[in-house]
Amino acid sequence: MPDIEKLERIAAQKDAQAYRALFEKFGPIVKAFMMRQGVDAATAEELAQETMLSVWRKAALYSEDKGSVATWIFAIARNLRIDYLRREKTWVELPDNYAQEASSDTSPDEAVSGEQQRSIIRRALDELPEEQRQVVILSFIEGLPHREIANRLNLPVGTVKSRIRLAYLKLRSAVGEPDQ
Amino acid sequence: MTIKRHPNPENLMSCAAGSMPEALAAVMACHMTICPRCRKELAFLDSVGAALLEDISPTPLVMKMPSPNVPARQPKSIAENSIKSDVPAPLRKFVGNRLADINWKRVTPGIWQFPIPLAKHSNSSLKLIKVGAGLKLPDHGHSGLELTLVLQGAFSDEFGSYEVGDVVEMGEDVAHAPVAAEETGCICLIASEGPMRFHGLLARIVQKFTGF
Ligand SMILES: [Zn+2]
Repeated sequence: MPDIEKLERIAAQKDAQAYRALFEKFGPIVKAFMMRQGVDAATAEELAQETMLSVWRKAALYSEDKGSVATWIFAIARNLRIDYLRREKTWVELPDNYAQEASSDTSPDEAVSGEQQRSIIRRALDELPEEQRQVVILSFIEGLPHREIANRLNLPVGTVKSRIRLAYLKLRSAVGEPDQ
Repeated sequence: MTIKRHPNPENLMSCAAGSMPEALAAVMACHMTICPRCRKELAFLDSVGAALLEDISPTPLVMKMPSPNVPARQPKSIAENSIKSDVPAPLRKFVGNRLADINWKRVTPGIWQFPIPLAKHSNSSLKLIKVGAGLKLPDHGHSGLELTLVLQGAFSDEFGSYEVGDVVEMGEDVAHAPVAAEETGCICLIASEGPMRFHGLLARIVQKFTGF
């Protein structure tokens, strides 16, 4: 059963089996993700549970045109991490805030399915030169700001930014050019 | 409204990664609320984040079954998002619904500011600044990345002119002398990397104006 169907079942009938399946697929990864961000195991556990609880509670708010289920869960986990770890306000809201304009956002010809897009992005990531992939991973997975990536790699901040920019351009052109 | 200047890709990426100093993330968030193009970019970058998660080796996690009674979160109502306001939604709880009603603090004749408090260790600072019509700020440099979002009016400098919705990035190696638009003046949201940086800028401006 595709992830989206599991989510629909959770939304419609609080389907425990569907939830278990999503939990087993994503929970342990989210916990590991939190640990990569420099969190101790107990907090990572708590944040991962909280992420999956949000999936349960907000299942009805998910809309497919905002990306795959994995993308949605990533955004939830990221926001929880910002909230809990930095004790900062999460400024960038989850995509579900914009659900009401979803249809005007995506024109039909670029509506690639979540699964298609996922494999396109995966391939593009694998094809990035190592020095570009490294900075993307430090940014997304280790959660480091540009300045700290620069310190970690002993590089000028400008070099980090240009590597990230090059990576972005390659990833972006793999799924189609951005609008101007 | 056509927005001409969007944040650079590297900033969109660290915004999606959640790895941006808080003040900069706040400017990005405010821009997102008025820029469909960048919202789409952010959604794309979220999917990059999701793809990267696949490479992480999982850590065992025991499932806790949520109670079926946990209430579902209701979507934020459309009404809430369409309140008549010239303040981007993420800022409203700090400054209210109208730029005109902000409790501006005067810095020097023609320049007002309103600082927005952030987490102590955010390592960045966030302020609204209002500059009177036609007023020219002294030439100044930046000691870290500065992101400026135009909220009302317009301003220009030697690199271009900027209107409502535009995001202007100033790197640490860049100096400029901004001038507020003749008719309207301008109100901007400014985020500076590193603590107290913008403070430093204002201090220098005051210095030039007052001769202290
Ligand atoms: Zn934009």
